[in-house]
Amino acid sequence: MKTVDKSDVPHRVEGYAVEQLDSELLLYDARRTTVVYLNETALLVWQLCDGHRSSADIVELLVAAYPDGPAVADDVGSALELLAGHAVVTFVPR
Amino acid sequence: MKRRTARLGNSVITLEYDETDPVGQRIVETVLPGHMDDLEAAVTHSLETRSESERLVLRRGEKLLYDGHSAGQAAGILLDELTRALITDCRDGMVFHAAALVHGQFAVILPGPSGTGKTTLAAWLTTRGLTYLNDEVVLVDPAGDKVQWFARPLAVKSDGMSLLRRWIDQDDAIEQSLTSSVSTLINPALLGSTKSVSSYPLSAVVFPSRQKGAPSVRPLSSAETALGLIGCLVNASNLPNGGFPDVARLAARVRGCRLLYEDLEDLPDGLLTAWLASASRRAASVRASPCS
Repeated sequence: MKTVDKSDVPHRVEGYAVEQLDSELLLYDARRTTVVYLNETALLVWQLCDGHRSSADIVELLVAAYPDGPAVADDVGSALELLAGHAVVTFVPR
Repeated sequence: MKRRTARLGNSVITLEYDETDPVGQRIVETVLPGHMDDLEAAVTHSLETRSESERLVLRRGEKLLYDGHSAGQAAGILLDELTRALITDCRDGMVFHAAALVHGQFAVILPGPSGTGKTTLAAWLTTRGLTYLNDEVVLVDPAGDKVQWFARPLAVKSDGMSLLRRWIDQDDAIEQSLTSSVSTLINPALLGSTKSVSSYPLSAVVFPSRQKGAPSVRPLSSAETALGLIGCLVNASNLPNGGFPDVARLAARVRGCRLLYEDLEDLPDGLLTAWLASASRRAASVRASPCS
């Protein structure tokens, strides 16, 4: 699992075919014929990776949006690590 | 010489064989049960039986596939070869590595790689009221309206045979089956295979998974179902975008689950069939809706 620097800005990697099914997402890489599955949390985080917000901004946004969530910050951190591990986002230092 | 033709969508194979030789006849009856001759289809494979030396010679075109004395080995190689040939050229939909059965008015598929228990589970489900179609490959359109298959024997591995003997009370018929080094080929007629309908709409996808612990049915989301199906898609290279959009469309229209079990004998009778009944009701309601 890749460690994410919270000040880095995640950018979505282009070139994936995308299929959203209910609240989950599949990303298909035709060159590598691999599919990445994103659950609801990972989909939300992936949607917020707009190339402007830092990882810390995304965590802050979702903690504010789900104040009663027991471990939102941890979940978002895990989702960012998952996205990085599957190379569907890249991180650029701010 | 006589011929038998099998089809899977646009894919066609025709085997030519000597109908006067009882060994060749038995191999063909086992591997291509119930298939008819299509005089317009070109011969793709041939099975020669040389009675003077009791040799069996199997060819694809000019290429030699088998030359030996074992009817079981020849049947096993022929079955693998014909299945591979039908998959390779199929472009009429998604071909999944999956067993298929009928539950009510709908097809149910059991996708999974070799060794996950598809054949044994399919045979077990026939003893619980489902009708067997195929234990290896199925062709499905993206809307899930048509599941197609070609009639072939069950290829049962040695560990599955002991279970099968408990469920099928026809020891003589099983004894007459052909056995290769990998599996025993059982005529689907022993399981009550149907041939009256050429396709069924799909209601459910069940991924068999053997693991320790109490048996359970874990419903899957559409995305999880699509992810599992993508891994079992065997003609992806023939389809636009590797079949990904078609698989996603299909997964959104059917129900998926993972069946976790250690031993089929411990699987409670109603556990899977109750879930299948609910999937069939949903499929019927989706199809009855004018917006579907």
